[in-house]
Amino acid sequence: MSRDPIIIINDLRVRIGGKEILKGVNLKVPKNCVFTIMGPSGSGKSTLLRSINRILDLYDDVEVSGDVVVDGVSVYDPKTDPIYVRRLVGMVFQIPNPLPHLTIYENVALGPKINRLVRSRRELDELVRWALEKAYLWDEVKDRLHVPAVKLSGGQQQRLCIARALAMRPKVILMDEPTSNLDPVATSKIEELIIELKNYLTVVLVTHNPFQASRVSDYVAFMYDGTILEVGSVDEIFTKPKNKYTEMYVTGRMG
Amino acid sequence: MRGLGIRKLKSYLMISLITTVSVLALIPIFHLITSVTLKGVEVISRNFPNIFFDVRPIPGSKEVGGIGPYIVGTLIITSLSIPITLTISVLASLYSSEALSRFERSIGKYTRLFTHMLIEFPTIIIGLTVYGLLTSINNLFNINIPRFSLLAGTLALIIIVTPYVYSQVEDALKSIPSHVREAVYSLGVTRVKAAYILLRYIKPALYASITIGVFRTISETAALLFTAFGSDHYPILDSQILFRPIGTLTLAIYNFALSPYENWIDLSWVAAFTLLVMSTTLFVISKVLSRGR
Repeated sequence: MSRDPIIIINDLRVRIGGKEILKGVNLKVPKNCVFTIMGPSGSGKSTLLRSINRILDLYDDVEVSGDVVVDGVSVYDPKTDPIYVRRLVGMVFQIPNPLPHLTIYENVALGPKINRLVRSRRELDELVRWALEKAYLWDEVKDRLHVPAVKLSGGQQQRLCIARALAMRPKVILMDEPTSNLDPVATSKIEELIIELKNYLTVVLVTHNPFQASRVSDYVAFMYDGTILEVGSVDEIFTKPKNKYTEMYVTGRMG
Repeated sequence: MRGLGIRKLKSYLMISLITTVSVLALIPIFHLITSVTLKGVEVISRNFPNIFFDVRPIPGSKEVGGIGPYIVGTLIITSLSIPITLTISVLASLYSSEALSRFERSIGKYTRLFTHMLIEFPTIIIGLTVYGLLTSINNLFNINIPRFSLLAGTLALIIIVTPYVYSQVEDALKSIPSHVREAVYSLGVTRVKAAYILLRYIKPALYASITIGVFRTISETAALLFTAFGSDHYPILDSQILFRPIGTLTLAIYNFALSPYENWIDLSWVAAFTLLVMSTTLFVISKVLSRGR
């Protein structure tokens, strides 16, 4: 991993309701790549992802120790504002979750508008268009920007959620199994988009699907039972894994 | 296949039973609506439209009179108490449902517990408590705030209705799926702005909660007996209005229905019908407002 890291995770431990979910995770995510955290269900992938932008704060009884540094900002430093971290790190979820009471336009415009990232309506229009174009959605929705977002198909809704995250101009985007509720055609569009996104930001993808990990990733971390067992380039992990669990997982003998 | 006939028979019997029970449950409400409407409309037709503006006739008189002061009183006490009730209940429910730190969560937990207890309190006790509270304040500071007043009535209504609206709004906020809440916060918004977006998300439930709050306010009687007390005159809109007793539709129903005069009893039907119309109108308005997207 020759490139500079944008995310550095040091001995991250997370307990939820007294149960240790992350048991000392160390990780470095290089800039401008697709970094995939792969592992079976219940291994702590989603918790790891949610600890990067402090969305874990929303839940009861969560204890975090260790640190996460994103673009030089220590996320768990008491002086760090979690709101600043969340602007730096966008997120896309497993279930496509556009806000159902808002239109397509409003869903994308919401973040920049409410955080006053733009100065005029024209600038906002341009930003919305830019985000929708980057999310490969503009051509499909440009004539119906003001219809409710829930009228879109599942795949389109998920691309809308990616556009919503992009409109905040984040440096990192976290994706929590973004295609697990989509059909193969919609999945392939999202995967193309993920590969494209690394040209201007860093994507941290969580998936339990080794095929998806091999298709889109530059680097893969294999996670099992709250720890990272192995990290490497996609070729290393899929052709000559060092850990026996990694090998079992990528060859379909586990998970 | 032999069992099929018996199964069909059982199914038929059960469906008949459920239908009968459902219809039985509806009978009282239909009886209530029709009797109030029939009697109310009949009396209104005798003195329309003055019945909504006149005051009650003097004892022994044969005039129909009217319920003007009570309509105005209900409107005044509702418009004084509802803004305060809504502000407190919406802010408190946001606080307890969107709490982030352990301290905030425990405050939220106790707020929830106490408001649920308060809902179960008989409202007449709350009326009595406000009466007692004003007595203590008067004694302590050697002042004389009238205990039978608009102020006392408003205070009692706020204490009674706030827990209802609070628990409705809080339930609606709690029912927001976690992935929607995560989506909102992941946009890097402040908690105030997140609260604004989440309130818009639960807009239909919010309107329903407001409607329930207004329903409870206009229909409350027991607590007002000790506080607003009731008055048969039009309230005078001056600086002392808060310190004088005020009549409401519910107090009019209570007082007139117990009176020995036929024409007063008739007026209590009119007051009941007016309350019914107000509630129905409110229900329709909230449904229309909450339709949206």
